[in-house]
Amino acid sequence: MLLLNHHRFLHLSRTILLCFFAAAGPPARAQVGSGQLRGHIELKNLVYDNSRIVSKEISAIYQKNAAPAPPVYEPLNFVIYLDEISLVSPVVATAKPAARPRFVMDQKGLTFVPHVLPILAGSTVEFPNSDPVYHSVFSFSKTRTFDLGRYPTGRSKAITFNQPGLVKVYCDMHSQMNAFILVLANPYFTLSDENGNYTLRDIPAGAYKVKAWFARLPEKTATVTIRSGETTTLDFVFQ
Amino acid sequence: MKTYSYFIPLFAAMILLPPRAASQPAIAVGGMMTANFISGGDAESSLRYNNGWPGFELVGDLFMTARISDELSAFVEVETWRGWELRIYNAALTYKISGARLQIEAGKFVAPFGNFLPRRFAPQNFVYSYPLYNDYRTGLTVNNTPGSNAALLDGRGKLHVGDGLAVIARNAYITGFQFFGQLGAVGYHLGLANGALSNPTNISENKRPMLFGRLHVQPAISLKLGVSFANGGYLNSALLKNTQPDLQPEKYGQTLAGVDVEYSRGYFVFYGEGIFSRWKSPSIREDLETLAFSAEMRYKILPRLFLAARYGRMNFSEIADSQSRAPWEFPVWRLEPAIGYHLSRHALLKAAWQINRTDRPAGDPADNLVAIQMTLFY
Repeated sequence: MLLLNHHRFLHLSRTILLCFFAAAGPPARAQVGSGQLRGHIELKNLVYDNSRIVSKEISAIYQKNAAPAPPVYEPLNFVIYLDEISLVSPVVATAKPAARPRFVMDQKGLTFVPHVLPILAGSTVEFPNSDPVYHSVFSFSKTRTFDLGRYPTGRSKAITFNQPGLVKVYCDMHSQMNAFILVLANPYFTLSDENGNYTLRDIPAGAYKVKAWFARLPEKTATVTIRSGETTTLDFVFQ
Repeated sequence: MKTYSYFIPLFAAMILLPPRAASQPAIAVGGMMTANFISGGDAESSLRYNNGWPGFELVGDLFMTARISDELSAFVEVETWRGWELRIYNAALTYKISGARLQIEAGKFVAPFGNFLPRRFAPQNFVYSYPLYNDYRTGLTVNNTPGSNAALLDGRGKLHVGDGLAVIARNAYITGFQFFGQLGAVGYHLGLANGALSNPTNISENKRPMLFGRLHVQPAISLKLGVSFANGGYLNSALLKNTQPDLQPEKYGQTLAGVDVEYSRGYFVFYGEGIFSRWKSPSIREDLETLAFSAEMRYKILPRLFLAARYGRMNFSEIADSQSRAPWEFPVWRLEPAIGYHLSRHALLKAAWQINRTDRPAGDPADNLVAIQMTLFY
């Protein structure tokens, strides 16, 4: 458990990340020539975040601090990643803990920030509590089951995610809080911007399966060929 | 109301309504189904379960909150008890007079007393049972007053199911109104309702409304402290009109005062409560007082697995016997260790062993329980 304030921690995380990728160097296949993939993702209909457990919020209602929340739609966070390649995870797995990539999932305003966090397998995620109330972060996901217990404002606890897969994160004290950590086997992933646009750079030339992930909807898969020095376009539509 | 015609639509609603919440933005719906298997001793005791016969129970709860406007909201809770009997536990409107600082709630709502009632539901209750002060039924009843000290003392340690009064009724939902709010770290409740906490009633059964209140403060993030009080009439006078027309039901009152504490850190949570209750029954020369304690803790040993235990004790004041003085009920205590396992975020399995001890001359009755509880919640 680290006792760092949030801003110091973010700075440290970025520094460690930069050091890590500088030390590890580009993936081996990038040396044979690389291209980039870009595209747009469209969501036809908003998806309701039905993960809140109203019955667990009953206690809060009885305490008279809560009112029925407005509808919450899933934020437009799409993760685009290359599937079925694992280039860097062995490097990460053998790295010393201090050299592993570190990320931050903050607890602020009774939400997890960010709501969706794609990370490389072997990375560590810090969960600082920036709220004036207790939080208790947990996950029952098969990828990584953990429970950090209750900890106060200004404290942070960390979890390392070694196995690729999806981790659904919740707070045991605030059932409306939920987030996703997508643990990926290679560094070729990105998060779309607020307009649904994405770009994946420095992909070694070759044919790949590309996946687009969105919470609470089935994943989309497409096949693409990346050519050296070229930009390939690939769009996805979620119904 | 004992008809399956309520059972079927309730559970159909529990299954069908949550997804529809998306198209009804101001309404949130939740539900819970709890299945219990209980096996216990068959001794004559207020804590005996089902005459000592092991059995299954199915309880369903449906919750609905509706935000009518920024200021006005409604909350309804419906429960099927043991699978067939439909009960509306909570149906109240809340209006924000001045934000969170001052609000008013009117209708039927849970009594703001102590720290257990808000977490009575199976997912938040670490063990199987309710605290002893909710479960132990005394010889005082809502529709029959004890004729004398001797009559009350004769009933000690016997089976007081049905109308026997617990210090706080198992389902302490009161009908009335309350002002409440949060001022910084301090929260408050003050209101009027029907009946008493030992006998909350939907309509006024006697001429004595209940006054109740609560103050709670959170001096540190890990610590919550509270004090509560209530005073009301506990007699169902309507049931007595034929047999005792001269009775003055307003003289049969219950006064309650309580303190509570909650402390948590890491994987550990502790709840403690102390409650003083005083019933007045004019045919009994002395006040009938009870002092009840409850201490409860939970420790998560693995992400899905926790250990918990609750200890409760009740002591009763002495009243005059024919030759000496004796407590009007025998002292009783309960220890309930439990283990819980989260099958998923929506499913909790618990097993509990309830050890009940009554300090009576005839010896401790065989009224221990073993309970297995499975809860699914949305």
